[in-house]
Amino acid sequence: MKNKYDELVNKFVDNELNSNELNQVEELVKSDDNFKLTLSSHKYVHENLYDIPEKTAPYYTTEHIMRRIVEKVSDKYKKSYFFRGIVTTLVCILITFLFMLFFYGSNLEVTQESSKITDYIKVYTKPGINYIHKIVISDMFKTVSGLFSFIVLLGFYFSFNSYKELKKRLKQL
Amino acid sequence: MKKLNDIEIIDSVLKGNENDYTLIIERYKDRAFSLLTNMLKNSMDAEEALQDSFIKAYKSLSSFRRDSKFSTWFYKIVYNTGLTIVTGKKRNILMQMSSIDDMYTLKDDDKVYSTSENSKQYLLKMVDKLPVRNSLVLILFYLDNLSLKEISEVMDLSLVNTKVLLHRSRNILRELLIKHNYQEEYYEK
Repeated sequence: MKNKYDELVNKFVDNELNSNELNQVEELVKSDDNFKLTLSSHKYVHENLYDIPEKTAPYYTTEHIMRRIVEKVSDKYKKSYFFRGIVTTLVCILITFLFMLFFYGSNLEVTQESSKITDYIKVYTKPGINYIHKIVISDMFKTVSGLFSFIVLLGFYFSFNSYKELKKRLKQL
Repeated sequence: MKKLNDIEIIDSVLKGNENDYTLIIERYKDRAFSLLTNMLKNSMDAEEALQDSFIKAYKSLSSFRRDSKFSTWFYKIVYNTGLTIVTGKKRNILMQMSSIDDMYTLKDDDKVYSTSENSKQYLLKMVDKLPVRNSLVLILFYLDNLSLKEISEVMDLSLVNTKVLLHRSRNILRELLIKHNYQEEYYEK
């Protein structure tokens, strides 16, 4: 059921009436009881709707949400640590390999003082090692490995820093 | 101590002070809960949707563009989360949302009337009985103080349709009051 005054009364409560419409309202209030009832009830609705009660969220809401956020943050870091772990392992293997190369490179000749096991390993791997050793002692390799070591150290620094950051964030939460 | 506005809090959270997000939660949780309870008609679902809304907002905080108010952006998330739950549970929201023309057959109208102490209490109780979209527009307009433009953004409606929805919602409440003979009370006002 549509009331013929719907538009007018809504404009009235929203302060959207122009001067002509305002005059019309004044006239209608004086002459039309039906309009008067519609307008006063509409005003009543409009004014009282400002008191719509706010429903209170459960007291633990904030705590639950923050806990879920912490879990998400730590999951994110866990994933990132997994890949960092793999990279770190590969770097360690590489460093060990380089160390072995230098070890062989500095002492390629089998001596009588050397232990039997070491001698055996050296003799067995000597041709390959000699070849690699030539590459290793080249200036180009030294430059590249120097840069690589720098990047690895930088990586360690950032990993350590982000771990500290994670701990700080977890502590904050 | 100076009260931080929404943007200041968001900036702080984005700088790494996640703990400041509690300020946003505390500020909006009750209003968002009111909205969701009204949409879902179930406080358990509303609670779940409330948490999901805050988590979604947190995850997308960096993509919040400052061209609208945070409240509008956040209520849109809340509204969409509520809608997802409603459709996920296969409730016929369209039925609930489009029945404004049949409002004179509102369920429990007489029961609510008989249990209300006064016209105001009856009126406020009837807000919850309106179809979802009608009660939502009233909550957003009167409780959350959103403008019609902001409501249209939240509910993804045109400005004209939002205005029509608000007017119709007020009209029906007014007609319900008149139906229950409340005229004397408001004549006195």
